Amino acid sequence: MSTPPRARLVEDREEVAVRLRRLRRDCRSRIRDLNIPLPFDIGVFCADLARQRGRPLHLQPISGLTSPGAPSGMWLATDTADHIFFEQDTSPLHHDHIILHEVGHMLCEHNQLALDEARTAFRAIGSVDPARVRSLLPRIRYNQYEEQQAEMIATLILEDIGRIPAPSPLTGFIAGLEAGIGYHRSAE
Amino acid sequence: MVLELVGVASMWLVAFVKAPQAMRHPQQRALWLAITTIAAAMTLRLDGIDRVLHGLVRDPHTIDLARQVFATADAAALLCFVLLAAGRPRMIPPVLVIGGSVLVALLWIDATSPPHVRNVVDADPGPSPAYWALYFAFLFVADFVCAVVCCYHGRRADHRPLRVGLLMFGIGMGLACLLWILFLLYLATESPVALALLSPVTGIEALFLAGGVLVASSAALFRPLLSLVALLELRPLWRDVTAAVPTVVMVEAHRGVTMLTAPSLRVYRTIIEIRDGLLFLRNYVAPATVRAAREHVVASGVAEELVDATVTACWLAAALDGRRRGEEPQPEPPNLASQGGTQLDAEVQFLRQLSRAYRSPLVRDFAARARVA
Repeated sequence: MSTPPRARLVEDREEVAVRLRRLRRDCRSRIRDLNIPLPFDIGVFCADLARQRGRPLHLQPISGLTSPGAPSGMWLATDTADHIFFEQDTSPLHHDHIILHEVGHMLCEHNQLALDEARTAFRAIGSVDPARVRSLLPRIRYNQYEEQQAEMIATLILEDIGRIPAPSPLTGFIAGLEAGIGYHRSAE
Repeated sequence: MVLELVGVASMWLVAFVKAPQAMRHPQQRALWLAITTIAAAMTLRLDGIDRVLHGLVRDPHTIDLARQVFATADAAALLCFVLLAAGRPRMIPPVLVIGGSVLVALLWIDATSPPHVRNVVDADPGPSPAYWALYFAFLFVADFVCAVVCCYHGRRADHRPLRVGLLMFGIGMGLACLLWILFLLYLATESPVALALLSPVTGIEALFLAGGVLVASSAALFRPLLSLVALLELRPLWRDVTAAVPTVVMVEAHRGVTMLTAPSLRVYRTIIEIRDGLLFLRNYVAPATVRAAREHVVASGVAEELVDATVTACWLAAALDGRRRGEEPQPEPPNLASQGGTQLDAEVQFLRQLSRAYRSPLVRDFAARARVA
């Protein structure tokens, strides 16, 4: 007897939900030990990550990176350092997200085996023209799951930070009362 | 009685909605524990509950004792809340020892008092006067300290919800002190006025305590609700942008139903996907169109703080049209760096302004003119 369409739809949805839960759990475990500065500063975060990895990490803003078919961020790993190139003509929160997406690739060690001299990851928006990407970066070997992992890592870090109240300028007893009663201070 | 019932219900509501935050943040646990135990003690004093429990337990003395145990625990939790706020966590174990000692002493006095069936102020015979003296003294000291701290320091808070919340909580604690004085007054004089005032004062006290905590933590409590409102407002903009650039969507809707359930995560993804879409779609706008959009918006008298969002909405509408018509990307896309913010809240605010503007007649008018041109 075949499964009725309604039941099949529920099963499909359940399958997708399980995959998504697994992806979130996997990404959470990868960011668990990260040192996240509060208030969040992407420069401080990356400097800390570079110390942890024992490799310099350079952030390189680029303007006009996102023409159609090109990525909004790239990770380039050489023998001596990591470089993250990111589109700078967007909002500061979006910069941070693009950079953290590349950090996600680094944390997951994507493409480590495929590349020897230079490892590169990219965060693509729009439909990427493979010929163009290959001409820029000849060794990109990322699949859809790896892109989703990197994107989920950036999302989890910044979404968590967005829920954390802004630091209080108050001190002493009143600062303790603020924390004790659970006042959520928004960033100004 | 109605006032008391409403007050107790409010206390339970606060205890319920604050529970997830108390689980996550250790610093909020003392206050949550105090609220919950106060709510439990007040509930056991309610007439209807009292009768139901007597039917179930058939031992009113045990129910009275349970109420007084909850009240003693709430006093200890309030002292812990004050000590944590003062930055003296090391003082918490001694305070817990004192609270525990008071509890043991109360049970001992109760056990050694002349035989009695109830532990209420109007019972005759009740426990010995030492029981009430110790019980009310401990509760009074804890509530008084908390009232003074919240009212005195609450005035210095820089944000109104925090200031109002702490003052309300402090006043609630002051009313609790008044309640214990009324109890003692009744014990000493058997004044019917004091007895009649117990229920309304309890109700007002509970309303002030619950209201204070709700006002002070409203921003945190209503965040999921605000996220849903933001989602509703961003939805039309997100739908059009992702229809034009579907690859920006991280988790695709499954047969029209989103797979992301947490409101804050959905808001975050909506923002990033709109931002990704804007980065892509700006390639379909000529610098002349952006200049024309700014002139159009300024000429329409749009408020200064909304100009950036409205200009973006104008060129976005033109870009979406261009993309749909299959136009070629432009060599010089506009710069978006100055818009939005470093924080999530600022970014949500900007994109909500953009979404509102995107649906406005002013932007539709601009898009229609751009199409003709």
